[in-house]
Amino acid sequence: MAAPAEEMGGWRDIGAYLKSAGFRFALLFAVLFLAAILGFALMLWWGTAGTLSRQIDDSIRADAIGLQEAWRGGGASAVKEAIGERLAVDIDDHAIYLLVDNTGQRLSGNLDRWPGAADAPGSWSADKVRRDGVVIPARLHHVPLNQGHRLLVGRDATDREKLRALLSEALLWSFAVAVAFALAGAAALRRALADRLRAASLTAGAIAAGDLSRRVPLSTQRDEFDQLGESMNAMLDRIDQLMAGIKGVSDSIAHDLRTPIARARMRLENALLSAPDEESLRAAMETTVSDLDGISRVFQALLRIAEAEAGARRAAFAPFDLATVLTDAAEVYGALAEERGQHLETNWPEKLHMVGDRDMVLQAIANLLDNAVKFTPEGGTIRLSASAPARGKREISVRDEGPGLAAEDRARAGERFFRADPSRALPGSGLGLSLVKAVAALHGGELRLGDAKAGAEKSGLEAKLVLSSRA
Amino acid sequence: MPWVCALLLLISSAAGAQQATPRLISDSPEYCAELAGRFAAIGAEAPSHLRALADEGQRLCAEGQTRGGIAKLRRALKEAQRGE
Repeated sequence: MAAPAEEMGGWRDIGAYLKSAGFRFALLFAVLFLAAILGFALMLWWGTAGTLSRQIDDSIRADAIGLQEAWRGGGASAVKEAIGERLAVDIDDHAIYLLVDNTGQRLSGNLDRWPGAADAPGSWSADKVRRDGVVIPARLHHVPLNQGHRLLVGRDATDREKLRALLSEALLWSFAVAVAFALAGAAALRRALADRLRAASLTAGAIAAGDLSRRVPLSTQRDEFDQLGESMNAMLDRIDQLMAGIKGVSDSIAHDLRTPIARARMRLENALLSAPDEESLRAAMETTVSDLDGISRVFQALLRIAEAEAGARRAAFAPFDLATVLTDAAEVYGALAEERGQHLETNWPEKLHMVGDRDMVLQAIANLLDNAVKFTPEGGTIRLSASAPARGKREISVRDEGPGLAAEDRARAGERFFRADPSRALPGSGLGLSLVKAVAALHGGELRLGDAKAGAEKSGLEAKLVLSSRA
Repeated sequence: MPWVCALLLLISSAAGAQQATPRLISDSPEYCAELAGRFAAIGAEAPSHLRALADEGQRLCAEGQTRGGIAKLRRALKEAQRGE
């Protein structure tokens, strides 16, 4: 009972083989190879046997024209004389002539009777004639004359037929060898393709099975397969990076939110169990509501980052004046800085038109100013400036006089929940620069972090937000 | 016996076909004589080597080597015409 199933499997295998890209490439190669050989054979035939045929026909045509002129000049007797002269000097013994009158009576020439194949006036035919009892091929042309006379001009085509036979045999053998080479080449090509793709296929299979650490091995040939392998590896690295990022964010969310939630729960429980009066209970609940607001803000920030990274808001891009946005931000954070004994310096052109998401840009500037206010000591100066360094480019710079960021921290500053050591004691969620970075990417730009005063003891931080107005 | 009849029919039809095939008649002793006459008409003033060639052709024809004789006579005629 297993036989039909095995048979079906066999047919399926053959079907899959015929549909495979390797087989199709190999077939294409074989067809092109054979087409090239066929083209070569046709050219060879045309250039040899074809040329000989054309030469024979040209010779017959020229002969016929000469004899027609003789007919016009002197009639049958002139043609008879011309034929006699031509046959007398035909050293190669290739010429064939026959002149007959209106009754079919032979008047001149070296053929004993009119061949049946050349009956139609003006016709060209390949016929057979006998020479010394041997049948030989001949090329014949029927030249009609007036008064019912007919003239046959021809040539012995034995040499041409021999050449054709030789060529046919040689080409047949060549074609057989070409077919063998085409099939062998096609098989080699299919095998080479399969070998080169096997590494990528095995890697993809291992990854599908869960081993994300596998990469496509690359050869030293640097060919298209290596380029495909490099692209696959780059894609896998990116997937790996994104998965690590997701894992890191999940861990950070769990870690950063566990403490405030546990604290809120404990505060509520304590108040429930031991609050002496209603006022104490209310105070505990108000503090808890404030803690929960903080948690809510973290989630809100995460959602905004996700929204910016997804690029969904790009559809809502609209023209706006960046100078107005900067003024609004400076008003709020200028007052805050003043409260903390800091000074906010501003500098930007009167108008800075750009196309983008106004709310997101305002949020990004606010985050940068918030950090600057947080880290600048009392009496320090924060500098907010903006410019249009190139057509379609907008640059917003926030410089503070804080402790600055170490080079290794700058590289991680855009990661969600990342907080450098000096800032752990200060309030914050570690999401501010993540949002700024996402907003920059949304606007086709980037966030650059550097020293505000390079070489100084407190180098400060310069956060430069570069935006593309045409993003 | 039927196969003998079929064989005879085949042979006779092949012979008929051979009969129907036109035959080249320019390799006969008569034609050899015609060429010799042509050479005699123009060859009196021909160089001696051409006359010798024509004589050789006639000799071959007389010995039954008609094609060879005709070829030599034709060559002699052609050379003689070229000389004229």
